[in-house]
Amino acid sequence: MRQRAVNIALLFALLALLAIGTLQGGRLRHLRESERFYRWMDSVTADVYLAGEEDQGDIARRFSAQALSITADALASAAVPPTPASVAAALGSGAIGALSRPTLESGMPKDRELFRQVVASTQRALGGAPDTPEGDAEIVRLLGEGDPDGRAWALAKGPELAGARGDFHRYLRARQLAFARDVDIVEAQSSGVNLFNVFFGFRKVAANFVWLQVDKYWHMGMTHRMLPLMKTTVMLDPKFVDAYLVGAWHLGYNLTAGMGETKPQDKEWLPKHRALVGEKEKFYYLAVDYLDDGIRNNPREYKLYFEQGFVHYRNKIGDYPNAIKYLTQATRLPHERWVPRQLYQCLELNGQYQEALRGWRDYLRRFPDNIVAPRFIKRNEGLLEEQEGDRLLAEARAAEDPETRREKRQLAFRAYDKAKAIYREMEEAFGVGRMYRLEALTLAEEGRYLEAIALLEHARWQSSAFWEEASNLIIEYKQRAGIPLSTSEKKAVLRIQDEELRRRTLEQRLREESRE
Amino acid sequence: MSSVAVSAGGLLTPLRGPWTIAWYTYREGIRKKTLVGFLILSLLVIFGSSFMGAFLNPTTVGDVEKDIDLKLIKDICVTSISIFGILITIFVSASAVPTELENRVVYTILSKPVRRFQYLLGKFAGVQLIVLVNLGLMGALFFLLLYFRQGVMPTLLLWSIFFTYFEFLIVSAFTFAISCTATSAVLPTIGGLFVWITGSLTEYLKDVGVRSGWKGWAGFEGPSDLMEHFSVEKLVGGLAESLFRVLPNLQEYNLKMQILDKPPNDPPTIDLIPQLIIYGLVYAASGFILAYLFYRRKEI
Amino acid sequence: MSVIIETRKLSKTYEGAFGSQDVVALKDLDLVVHGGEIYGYLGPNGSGKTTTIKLLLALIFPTSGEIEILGEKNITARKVRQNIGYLPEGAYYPDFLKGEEVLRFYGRLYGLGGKDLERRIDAVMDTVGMTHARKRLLRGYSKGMRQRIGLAQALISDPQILILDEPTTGLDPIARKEIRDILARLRDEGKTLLISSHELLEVELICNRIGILSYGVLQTQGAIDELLTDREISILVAGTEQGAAQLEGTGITVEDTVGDRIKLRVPDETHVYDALARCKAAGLQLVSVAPRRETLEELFVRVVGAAEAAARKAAV
Repeated sequence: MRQRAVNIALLFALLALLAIGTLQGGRLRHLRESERFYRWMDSVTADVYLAGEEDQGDIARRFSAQALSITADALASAAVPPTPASVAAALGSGAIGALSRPTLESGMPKDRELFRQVVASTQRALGGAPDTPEGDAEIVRLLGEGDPDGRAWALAKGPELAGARGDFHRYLRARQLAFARDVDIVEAQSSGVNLFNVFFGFRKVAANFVWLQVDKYWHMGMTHRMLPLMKTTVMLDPKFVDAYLVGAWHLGYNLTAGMGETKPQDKEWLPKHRALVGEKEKFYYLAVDYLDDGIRNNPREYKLYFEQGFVHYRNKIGDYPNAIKYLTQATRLPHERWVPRQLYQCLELNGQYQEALRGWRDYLRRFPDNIVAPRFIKRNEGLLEEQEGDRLLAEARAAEDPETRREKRQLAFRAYDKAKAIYREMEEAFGVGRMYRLEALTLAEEGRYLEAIALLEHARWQSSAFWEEASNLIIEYKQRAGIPLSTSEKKAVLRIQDEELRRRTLEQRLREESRE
Repeated sequence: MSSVAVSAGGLLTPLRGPWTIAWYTYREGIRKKTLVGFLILSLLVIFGSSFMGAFLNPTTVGDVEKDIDLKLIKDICVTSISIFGILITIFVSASAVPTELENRVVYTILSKPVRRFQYLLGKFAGVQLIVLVNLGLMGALFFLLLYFRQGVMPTLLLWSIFFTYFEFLIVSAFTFAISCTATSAVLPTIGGLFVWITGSLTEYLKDVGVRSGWKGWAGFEGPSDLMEHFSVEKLVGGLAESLFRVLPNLQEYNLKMQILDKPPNDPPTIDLIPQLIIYGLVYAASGFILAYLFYRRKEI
Repeated sequence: MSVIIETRKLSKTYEGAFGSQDVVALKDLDLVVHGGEIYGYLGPNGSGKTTTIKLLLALIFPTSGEIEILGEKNITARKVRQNIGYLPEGAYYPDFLKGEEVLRFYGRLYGLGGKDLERRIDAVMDTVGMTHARKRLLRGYSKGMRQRIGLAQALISDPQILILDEPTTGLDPIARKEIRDILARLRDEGKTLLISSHELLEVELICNRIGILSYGVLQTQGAIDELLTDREISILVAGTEQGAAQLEGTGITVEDTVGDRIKLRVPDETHVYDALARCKAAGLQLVSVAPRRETLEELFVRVVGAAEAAARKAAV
């Protein structure tokens, strides 16, 4: 009797423990599901920052940056009717929605819809306005900064987002979410037995071995075999950050090193990135896509953003607005101290001198021993003055009233003088180049085109940073003064014309497509 | 002062026997050839992983190459630690009790003033000691490897290894329970492997539940509902779903990989680690009670 | 003399698995072991000796009946366990340990520790004559030494009762004698010993009381002197075989013939004179007349044989 009583007591204890285990399992399941939801939010947030908020001005800037550094004036005088600005304006009128970068794959449209729901719910929970745009939402800010105090995580597992969380898992099961491609997440929802689950680590080890093979092929020169294996690697281990970095670098640099320039007429339109691409550029954008994939799977790895922004968008493609976006995101996350410097340089390259200046000043405050910051501060101060002068001069030209015109010109030259003073103080090649530009500008304003051209011919050998700009100015002044262009200059103009023509036809086609 | 010592001794007396047995189990277990074999093999793999980087051609970008090299070491080591570790765990847990039955040592022990509960407690503790020491050895080598490569303390790694132990603990407890019904180590070893594989595949049960059209216990409206809309699929689904909830899910411990991947201040990971430790302890306790239930009136 | 171990109607049935026949290992056992004696527990293989011992140690549990040790019915009580030393048959002792480490391990299981334990280890090492080898690894021990260490671990808590399962099996004659001497000495110290064995000669040499078990039933139990009575008379004569042949049919048995010596046997004392007369008549010369005591072996064979016959009859 007693023995039986003890047995029954033990059995009850066992059942009680199993019940506790079940409850604990339920809690774990909840946390795991919340975690998946959280990771997805993280991924979408990265996208909100990077691709989701392109306004018209942004596109205009991108196109102007891509327009081979030729000013609108030059194009106009070269009698090529559509300027980049006008193209941008045309794009702005209606076609913009269709053209915005298609980050969501077709047939998987639920991410944004669901995320809007998340934003509304969190705003309500945090006591803000529920109809805040995504970019300004608190949850986006929290996640974008890497959720340092865990508040976003508290929301992700809390009751406020229960509805969205439920929807998330429903969509996930139906595979309607583009931003939840992490193998972990998909596998957790996939059906059937996956023995890889048992030997979970094997998959990562396998990824390493595939990567070794990629490396081998690279050294054997069998580059055509690398791309599929690179994709396999990150499919096996989506957290393999270095594979993304090195892989993209292979694509952007190593594979394209031996390729020649594609003739403008042979370039193709890449709708996903809205760019005209040749053979080389195709690989640049493959690298961009590869890194974008990495960013979705590792939205908190600053290296990926940095690589995308600096190495690919800035150095290779010369797409400064995008470079700025990625570099900005990199600086939001824990990063190395060289990251912001590249961001400020890109801002400068994109003509955003004010922002660059603010950045450099802030940088100097944080790292007072930095030696480049003071130089860049000077440089941007000068550029800012120069920009002001350019603006006033343009206004002066446009002004009807001769009095205003004179006044504006005077103000413009005063700004130029200030810029010159700053450049003189700098005592370096960059400043020299800029001073020559201002000199030439002054001469051209006075109608002394030959002198201006002669000055520029001399100047472009003095400062490498100034070469392209000087060359373009020479074309501009020759055209204005009616001086015949040299052969290479003619070629350059033709190239620009070709490019523009092609762009126009492709825009046309795209507009037709979007209408269908 | 002496009175304190006496009272402390009095309190600890019931634990003296188990501790003696645990220590003996440890000393005996650590000498097993199979165990030593596994350990050497795993140490070789861990050590060998540091040469994997040699396959990377050194012309790749400097820092990244070093990073990939480290990643190789990490992945191979964590995987081999978890696989060799689980094999060692199963093997030791399965053989601790049956071996003593085979060589009759158990007769000399249980004829002494030692309760069967104390005996099992001692055996189980001894098994855990062996598992921990093995894990410690593998972890230490891995740790040193990373430390010399990286030059920084791989704290995350320590967490990951510490954490892996609780997965082993669950498998160990249930294998131990099986071994308490057996007279030789063969059956419990197979049983232990089965526990491990089943525990790793419980997600599948959920899938069976979902596919059967079972709406979960939340949608259950009492026996009358079941009678009216009865179907075998539903029954199987309900069963599978219930099993899924009750059985320990070892997949949750995949976090060990995540710890190495994610940056140190990842809020969900910080949240999950203590929960998973509790989870491990609860199931280990139920496994141990099951073992006692099997063993307490076992005729030996 | 106090009763130290007593069982009443102790039965053990092993349930047959999957519908096979149940095995009755022990049936209505009434075992009585007194204090200060060596009880020889005898029986052929499979008769239930080990089952009894396991029951006494609560390694297995009785189907019915009860056990009382030292007047205590709860035989797993600490008081009881503290006073039982057990030497199982063919047990293994960890050979990576030194002799004294083995004893330390077992001593701790009794709750001993510190100086007490060391004192006890010294004492038992002395008792079993292993002091010289206490610091050696068990790996280097002979079989006899291991058995002595086994005995030492049973003695470590200085128990009142010693239960020894086949203590001398597999040992050489000298080791056997040594063990036997130790056991006798322990008895003299006032310990109660329960020895299961089928080494009948040894049992006869040292046991006070015996019990013979066959087919799970205790066939006989009692003091060895009572069970082995002087019942026969042996007569040794010298003469020819023809002379011996004349004795046939007179109740005299010819046991053996060696040369001219003929060994005769008569059932009891009443027939002695009659038999001597017949011998004289047959021309046989008397060499010696001696009472002859039944050996334990003979008793064992007789008792077990009878039980076997009964079992066979029951089976038919």
